[in-house]
Amino acid sequence: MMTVSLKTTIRNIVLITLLVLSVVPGSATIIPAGDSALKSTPEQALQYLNSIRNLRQSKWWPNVAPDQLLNNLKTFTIKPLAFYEGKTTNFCAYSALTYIPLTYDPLGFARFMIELYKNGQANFGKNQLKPTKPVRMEAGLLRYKGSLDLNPAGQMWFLTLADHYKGYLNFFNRRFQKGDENTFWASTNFAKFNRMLRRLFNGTVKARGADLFRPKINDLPEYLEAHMQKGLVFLYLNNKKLYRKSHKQSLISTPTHYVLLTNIRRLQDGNIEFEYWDYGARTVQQLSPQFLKNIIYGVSVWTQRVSK
Amino acid sequence: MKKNSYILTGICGLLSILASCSYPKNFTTDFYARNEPRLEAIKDDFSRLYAQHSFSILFEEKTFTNISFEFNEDSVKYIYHFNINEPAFSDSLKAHRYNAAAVKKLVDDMRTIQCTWIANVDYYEGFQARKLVQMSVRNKALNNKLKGESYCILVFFERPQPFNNKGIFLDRSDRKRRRQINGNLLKRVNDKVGYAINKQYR
Repeated sequence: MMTVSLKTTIRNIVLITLLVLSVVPGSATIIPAGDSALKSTPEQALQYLNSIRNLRQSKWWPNVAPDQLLNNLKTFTIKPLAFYEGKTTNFCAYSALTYIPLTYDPLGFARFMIELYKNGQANFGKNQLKPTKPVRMEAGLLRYKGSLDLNPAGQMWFLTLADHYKGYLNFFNRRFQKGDENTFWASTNFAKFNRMLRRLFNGTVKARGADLFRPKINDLPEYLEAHMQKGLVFLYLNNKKLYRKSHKQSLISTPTHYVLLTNIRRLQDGNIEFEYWDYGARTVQQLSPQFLKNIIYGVSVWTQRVSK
Repeated sequence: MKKNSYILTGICGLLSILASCSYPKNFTTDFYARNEPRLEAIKDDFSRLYAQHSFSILFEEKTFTNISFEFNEDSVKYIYHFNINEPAFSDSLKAHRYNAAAVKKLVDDMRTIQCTWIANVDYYEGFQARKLVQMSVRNKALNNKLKGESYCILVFFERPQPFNNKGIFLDRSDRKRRRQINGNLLKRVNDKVGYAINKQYR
């Protein structure tokens, strides 16, 4: 009797979760993301950053040195694809969407980061981001994360986003404690990811898929290829399959990683050449269409809204 | 009297289950001592080939026939999947200007010792970037019916590392901190080699 009620409860939880997670596709006009959509250029961002003299140590971010912050911001501007989420962290979602400001509005991003540094809070998109004290104290102190160790500006940005945006995965761990960059505190479910895209950037988001179920798309490679012409395509996928970490076949398959799709094409042998951006680099893998369909749980297409 | 014997049997059963859940305590030290020349040769060969053209190798399956080979070019990583017995592997190595014969020998050596993954990993001492070679090894002694398979992760530093009285490697730039590589705390095999036992090989 107990087992039956337990099963019913689990089924209800799954159904409620699905309802909560189901994503309503955006309905605004889709505009291709081309050069004309750029709001500012890297040159303008560099000019702004170079014009900053005597940036004082922020009282809000005691472990982020001003010269290091400026150096990091200049590096983001020059090498946006080198932006790195760090080893063993749960920052991949924040890293993937950072491609948008670094590419479309590097000046806006630089201004935001400087304001955040000076005032401990700043406006970005539709939100005022005001990170809590534990997060501000931690930025600049993250270690053993690869090149993120040298990137306090990146740490500030990731920790601020993770502190501000919350989804159901963060329900039991909402207050930052040391080491939480690796835990559910920093995790991002698919609905939260799309919410961040909508609130942070001036664009429209068309999303397919959910946390537990793959999207029903007949020809996924063709769908992705077609949508890459319209905007930026972010994928929510099963990282354990994309980057094998053990020989064990897991019974439960769930997505845990976000990447930006940078290219996709069908090869003559029927396989798919799948190129994506994560961990500060572009990666190319040749995968079978079936494998690709198996690992992708969410597709978010972001297109910039251009004011008339 | 009868009650005591039940309790004793229960305790013995529990202890035997707990014992079966853990791997031999000196596994890595013994394994390294037995295989030191082979492990060091694999590490040296990999480092030499990596210096010519960077890459990493991963055996995807327990059969050790299919690999995932990561070709690192200037701005792009190419991860290709091969059956090591098929000509496509050699052809791709040549196409990407790798020393195909030497890489294939390295793959064979890895297979012999059941080395699942080998890669060059970057880490930081203070704000100084450094590199090390990391390899993961499968071994029957690390299999467990209850807990599943674990891997022995060996880390080869370029220079001796500080360690505490429990043999745990410390951060050279901040000796109050315990050194972590890819999220693993490392125990000492010798001054330059550390290890961790983990469910994941990378």
